[in-house]
Amino acid sequence: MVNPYSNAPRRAFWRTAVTKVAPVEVDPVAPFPRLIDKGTRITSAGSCFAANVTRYLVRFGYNYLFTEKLHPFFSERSAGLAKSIGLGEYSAGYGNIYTPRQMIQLVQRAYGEFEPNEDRWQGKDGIIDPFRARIELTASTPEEFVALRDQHFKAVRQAFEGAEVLVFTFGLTEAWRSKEDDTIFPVCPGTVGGDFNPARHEFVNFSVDDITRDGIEMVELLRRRNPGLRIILTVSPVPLVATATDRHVLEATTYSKSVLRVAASQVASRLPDVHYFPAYEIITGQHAEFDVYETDRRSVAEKGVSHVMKLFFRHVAGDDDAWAEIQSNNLAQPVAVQMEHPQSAAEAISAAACEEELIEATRFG
Amino acid sequence: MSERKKILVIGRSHAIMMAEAATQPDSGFGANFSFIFTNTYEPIWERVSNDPPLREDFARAIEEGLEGADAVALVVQGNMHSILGMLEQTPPIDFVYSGRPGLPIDRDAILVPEKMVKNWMRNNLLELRSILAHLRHIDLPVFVLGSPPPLRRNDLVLEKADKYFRRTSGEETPLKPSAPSMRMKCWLLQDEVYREIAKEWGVGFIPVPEEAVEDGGFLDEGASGRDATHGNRWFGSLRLSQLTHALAAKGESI
Repeated sequence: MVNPYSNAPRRAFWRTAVTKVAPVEVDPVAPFPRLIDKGTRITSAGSCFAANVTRYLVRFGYNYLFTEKLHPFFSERSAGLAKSIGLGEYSAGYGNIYTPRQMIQLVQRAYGEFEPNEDRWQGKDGIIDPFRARIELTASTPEEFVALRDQHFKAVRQAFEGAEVLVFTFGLTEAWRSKEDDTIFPVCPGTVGGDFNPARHEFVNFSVDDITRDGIEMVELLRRRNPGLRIILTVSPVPLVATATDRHVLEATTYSKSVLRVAASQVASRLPDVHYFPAYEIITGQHAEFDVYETDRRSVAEKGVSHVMKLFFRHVAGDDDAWAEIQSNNLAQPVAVQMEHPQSAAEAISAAACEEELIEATRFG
Repeated sequence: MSERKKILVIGRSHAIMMAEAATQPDSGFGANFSFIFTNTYEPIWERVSNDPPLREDFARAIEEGLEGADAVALVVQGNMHSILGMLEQTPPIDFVYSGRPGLPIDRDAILVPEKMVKNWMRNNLLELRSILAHLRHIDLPVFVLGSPPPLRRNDLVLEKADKYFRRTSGEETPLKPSAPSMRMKCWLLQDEVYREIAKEWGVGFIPVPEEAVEDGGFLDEGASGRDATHGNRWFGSLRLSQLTHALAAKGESI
């Protein structure tokens, strides 16, 4: 008897692909085009899990584009300063980008195609850029704010025009939006700056259709400036730090990740040269061991990140050397940030690894 | 007739021309000056920490210098602005100075926040803060003196750049002065930091003498010393005059 499963590969069967495979050997990546080598110009963006991609690509000698860096006068005098202010996690200092709508607006702002009404917040130490609130480039004056932002926009254009491959990680469906002009804020107004005003701000929880539509628009927008740009989509396995819905955070997380996961495949199936890489499945699949997450059950442990990245190198770059090095536990330096016992709101805010965590820091700090 | 007042000057390179001016015959400052040069005691601390105590021999020298003194002047450090801003960095660097936001910005430079520059300057003025901490219990007027502003002309900066800058720039890299506006921004910010530190410690701040400054705030070339960052003996004498007047303003008869 012949049926559609008769000649299916081993990866199509749970028993051979999962049950009989050691957890760290599970490889859910279906045939994937070789999109990068060590000369390929790569950029990345997305939610906080996306920063791991940068770290590993740099560690293994790939050509990750950095277009906005701390000047060496300061980085050479103060080790860790660039990281502490949030530069170096991505090509430019845009911080975490949780939704494709936020990414669209970043690109539009960088090209002068969108000017939000609310483009700056007054913080306790100066003027904050709401769209990269965790990047500590607080301005003292309006003139300085504009100068630093213009420099940032230039770096954003250079990154997305100069890259051959973009790795973009969908992070959240929940966001805060301006009622005036639909501006999406990566962090709720009133948390680190500005004021929350129900007359001006609203909560939005994007649907599958929203994310799919925005994902397609994001790719098309980027390819207007960079037609050859190849795109790898991933979904962050990091649960929500908090939900603004009336649901339990676990239920809200499942909704959010489900939407993102479906939308990622939708976008990849509808556009050429857009590929879904299953980082989400590698971390959250039933095979995954308890310790792929830290004790907060939210932060992905280095063990989990390394599993993702060794498969990324093997399938996306054909780099078995990197795979073997990671397999032998010679890992890149961990970047996980623990948030269990913040000493104060200020410390918690400064320790927050992503804009999303600022919500928790301001609530429980 | 009152006895001549005595002012103890603690400083480094910027104090040298003050010392030379003080030893000139018929200087007529109405006060006597004594000097302690910090580089004699380098490093000036027992150990490096956030609040380091001064090393014993330096502290003793200060105590001896304070005997019979009517005031103390600190001309410590003061070249932070030159380290960052005298020569063009690779790649060029710039920032917006909030005190004069209209000063030009080099659009090809990497911009850094003013706060970052200011923090770096503050953090590197540990020597000044340590001495102020050591002096906090004395019952004498204490003055902090800022350093001379930069020269305006690039060719003069280049001509006078001393070995420190030639060494740090590297032999193969031709020296290139920063834009005059960058030099000025760095100095203005450093001057601001000095003023703030003086205020925090409750001591006086004596600004650069107006006679030594040309339009735009740059150092008058007639006050420039042997290199691109220091004043000359005339500049030093102006500083000594300022100190005697500052002491007189405190109600001390000179």
